[in-house]
Amino acid sequence: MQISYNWLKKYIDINFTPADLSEKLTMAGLEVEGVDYLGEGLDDIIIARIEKIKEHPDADKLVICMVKTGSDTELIPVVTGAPNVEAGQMVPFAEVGAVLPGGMQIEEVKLRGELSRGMICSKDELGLQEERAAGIMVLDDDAPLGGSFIKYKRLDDYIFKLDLTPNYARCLGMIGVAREIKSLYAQEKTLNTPPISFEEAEELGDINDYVEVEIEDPDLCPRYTARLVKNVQIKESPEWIQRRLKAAGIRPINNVVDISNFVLMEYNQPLHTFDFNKIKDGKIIVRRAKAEEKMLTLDEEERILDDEMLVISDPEKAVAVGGVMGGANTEVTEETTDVLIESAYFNPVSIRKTAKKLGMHSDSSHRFERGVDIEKVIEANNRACQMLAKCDGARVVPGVIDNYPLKFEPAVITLTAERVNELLGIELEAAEVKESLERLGFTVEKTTGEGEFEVTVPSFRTDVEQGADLVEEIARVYGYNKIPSTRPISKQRGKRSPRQKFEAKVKKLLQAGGLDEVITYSLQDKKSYQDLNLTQFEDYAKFVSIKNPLSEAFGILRTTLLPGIIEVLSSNARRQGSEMAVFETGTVFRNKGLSSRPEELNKLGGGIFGQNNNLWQQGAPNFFALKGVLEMLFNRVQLDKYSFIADNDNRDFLHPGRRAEIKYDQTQTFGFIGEIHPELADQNNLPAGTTVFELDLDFLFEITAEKSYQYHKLVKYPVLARDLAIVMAEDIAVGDIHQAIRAKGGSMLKGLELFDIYQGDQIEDGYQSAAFELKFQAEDRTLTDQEVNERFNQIVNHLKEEYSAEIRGN
Amino acid sequence: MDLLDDLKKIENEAEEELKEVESLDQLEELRIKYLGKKGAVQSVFSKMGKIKPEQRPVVGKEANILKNKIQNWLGEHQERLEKKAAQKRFEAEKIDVTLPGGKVEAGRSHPLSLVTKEMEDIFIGLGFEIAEGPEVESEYYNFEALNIPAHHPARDLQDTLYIDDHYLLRTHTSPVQVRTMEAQEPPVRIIAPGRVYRSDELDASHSPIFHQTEGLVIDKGISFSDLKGSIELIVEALFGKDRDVRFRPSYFPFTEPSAEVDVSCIVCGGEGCPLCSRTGWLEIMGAGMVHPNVLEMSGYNKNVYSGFAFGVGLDRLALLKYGIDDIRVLYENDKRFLHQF
Ligand SMILES: [Zn+2]
Repeated sequence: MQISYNWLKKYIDINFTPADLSEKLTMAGLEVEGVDYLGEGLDDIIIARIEKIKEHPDADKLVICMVKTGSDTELIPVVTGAPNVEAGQMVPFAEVGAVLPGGMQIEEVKLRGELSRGMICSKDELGLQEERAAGIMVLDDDAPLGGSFIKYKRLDDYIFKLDLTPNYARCLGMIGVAREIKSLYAQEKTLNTPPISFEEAEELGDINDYVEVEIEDPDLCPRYTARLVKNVQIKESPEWIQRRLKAAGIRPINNVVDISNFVLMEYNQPLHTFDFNKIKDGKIIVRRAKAEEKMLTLDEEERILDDEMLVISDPEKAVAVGGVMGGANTEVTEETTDVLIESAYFNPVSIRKTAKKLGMHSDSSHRFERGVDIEKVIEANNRACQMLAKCDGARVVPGVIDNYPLKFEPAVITLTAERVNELLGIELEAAEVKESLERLGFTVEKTTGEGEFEVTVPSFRTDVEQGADLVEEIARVYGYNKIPSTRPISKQRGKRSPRQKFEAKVKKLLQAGGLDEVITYSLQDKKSYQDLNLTQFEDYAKFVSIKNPLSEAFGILRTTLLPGIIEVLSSNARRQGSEMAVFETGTVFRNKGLSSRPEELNKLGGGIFGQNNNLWQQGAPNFFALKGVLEMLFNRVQLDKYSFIADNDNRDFLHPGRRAEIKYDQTQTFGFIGEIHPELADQNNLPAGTTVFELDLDFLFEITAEKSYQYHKLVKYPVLARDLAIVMAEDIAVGDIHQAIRAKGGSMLKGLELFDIYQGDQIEDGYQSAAFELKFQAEDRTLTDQEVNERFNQIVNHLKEEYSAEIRGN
Repeated sequence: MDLLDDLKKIENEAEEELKEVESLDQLEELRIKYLGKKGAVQSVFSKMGKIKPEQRPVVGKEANILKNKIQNWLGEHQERLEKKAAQKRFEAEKIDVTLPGGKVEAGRSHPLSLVTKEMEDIFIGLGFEIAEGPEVESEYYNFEALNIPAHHPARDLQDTLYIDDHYLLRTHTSPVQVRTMEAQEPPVRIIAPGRVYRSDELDASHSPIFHQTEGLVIDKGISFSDLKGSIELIVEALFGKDRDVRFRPSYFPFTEPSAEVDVSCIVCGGEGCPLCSRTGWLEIMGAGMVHPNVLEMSGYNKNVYSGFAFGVGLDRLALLKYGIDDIRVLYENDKRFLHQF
């Protein structure tokens, strides 16, 4: 909502500077988003008269206006191309030296040889309209010659833009804001509500002779009032009403509509005006709509209603969606003469549901949803009559129809000063508590209890329901910033859970391994899954879709971290990055079927490109670099029974020959690693060889959770080392040989490391050689050469029998 | 002939020649020349038979003295030569210490993680535990249990992304408040960092996905002044001692009284600048006393227990703390960005 300072001063005579008022409103809970000065940049603009117009000797499209800025000043020549200049016009004028709102300073210039000493301004040049004006702005003839344009146009006003939270419904009108200011900052001032008096046209009889109101559904409409004004001439509103509405951000339309908007802004009471002669039999029926009932609303849209919505109708047809929007069939038009004014209280929940369903959020529905002051509906109606009565010829029919089936029962809340002090951490006397609430308009009665009150909530405080609400009010009066600062004593020790500690450790380790942490969107585009061929992997196709997505790009919840990570890698590669290594931890979501809660899994994923250490001459430096990081991670979280096993028939988004499942205890797959399929890498702007992994973080935590560090005595006996080089068929996995050696080596084999593999010269086609270093050691004695040799030979024989592997050089 | 004169002469000659020696080889030659089996000193011993017997002890003694003397000279000279040679070798081994060191790339933490961890550490120090909750929530936990009934205007404060009629993406971390209260008896002291979702178009200051931290303290006798003191401490830990903090009335359905917490602008210090929209203040969190309805719905006795809650936007905090002007940068993960932290 936006309010004008000048208008506000009509209701309370305050003299705060605009900045001060802005601060005060914000600190009262009416957050000011911004303050605009209407006369911004117009200080130098004065009112001038075009005395005569001369032709430009050297240009057809230009004329020379001779302009006067005072009764006895010289004529000033101004060259202009504006098509609408005429002698005698009063115009806004910028003299030489004046600065326009855009910052431009007017200088003396020659246009096609003719001197021009000033500028006659158009509306857009003055910042009064956005679009370019066709010509200069022309003022009324009574504009004061030489006077200030700001003063004349009453632009010496400040507009406060308020961002009101739902509990400030009472401040959706000028009187409400003024009352709030008085309560908190200017108790000594009076609240100047408009004095309402107008003449009723006795000769017209009584409203009951014309109008009948029947409320069929009082739960949706507890109170409905109506007044009738006859013989109204529909025309433009007076300037002052238009000015007020514009300041409030409302577009003036005609006197009837403008007056109803004016009262809305003043009293926070939405009114509706009907063309009375279009209401059949003068009968208003307030009822639920029929299922599928149709109605054309003021915005020329046909609305299909349902039986939860409230309509205002006559015996034949619905004439308004109650509290939301009027119908086109009874709209006030230029032909209207008799106006029926509705001022009612509608059920907030019903209004909100209806406005939502119909997609019609209006100034009216906004206020009814939050609750208006049910006790003020007649006053607002009278105010509108008073204003209409001032229009030529308009005559107010005596009497008001007040149909009020559900009488307002004010809430009464019991409150003790002790509880207030306890909750706020202050020490107020009972009398101070009472006084604070009374300032805000609450009625406070002492009970027999010690420091206990019964607080009656006024009808305009639709937000106050219980003690806590009153406590906030007392805190507002007291001042939030005057409340002391204390700190509650903690009886517990703060900590992270084991699971949280584990995740922190994993992150640290991956960073030590050179991987940067990334955070990507968990809402994604289904298309990126198709582009990456991810949907072919069953788990990744279990999408959870968003019912009301912002766009396709945020249409589904991620089922894997991969698309996010791949996007990071490809965008960095595109930008210029020659290498990158990243990881992310986060939730992925899997659809578990209709109406079931989707599964949320914690995953760890990552990717790498740009490595060039051609480890083991496999031509897959990225794969082995990333695998190395994972092995380090597993080692450091003390996971021992893991293995990387070639992945033969899953995950076609990876290179068929360069992908592995990561298994626990040989059987349970808890992750994978692999190169992105070369064709997909190419299509998705990824450097060749880009390798990714993903694993189940919760599973990794579970299987390592119990592990804690345990000291093993350092062995003091010597290590005997042996190198073992074997030749075997090239399709045998070195990992299998590694495991075989380890198994055969037994407890005395303390170290086993591959240091070379080789194919080529001296190795037969179809074969490969692998060289290991074996370290033997006993914990209780010095091993003899003989013992070690025996064990070594057992290993060699085993490899020969099981894998047909031959010792190299033998 | 006077052997003593000979010795004197040998001594002088040896001393002179030693000065010319510059290598260990030359030194060895000199040693042989003077101290070898056929060397100069030995030749004096071999001539002993030719002198008077009473002179022999004198000459013998002097010859031994000279032998030792030369030996010492040779030793000292050898040391000098070796030192010199070592020096020469070290010089040859000289390296350019200004050449760059071996490349070690430690991975970085995402700035959002840094901010989250900083928050967590502050609160752990204050006796808080870290709570978690699902990102897909039910209407009940996200709204109803937080005193936001189905047709309340407060629902407009957060544009919600729905999955179906039952589930939605949590719009705030506040549901964790309710889940925690349901799962445990008071006292409660938790923070709950996590991802939240809103139906907000992506631009420089809005993102449909962002991060919050919820905080909740419940016990007997918790007051608004406890809320103030705790939040002031957090602001000090995050932004330093020089910041002013102000509390102003606001509205959250699940707290009453509610407050918005502002901190004096980190750029202008309160003078007014574009960052703070010329107000001198930056809005950093919402807070308030837990609404009695929320306590009641979670099964706590509202007449016995009270508490406070707050919510901080972690993305906003990261933007403020590191001077980032566009929230989208956080999620682009440009390496040049990540490597600034
Ligand atoms: Zn600032």
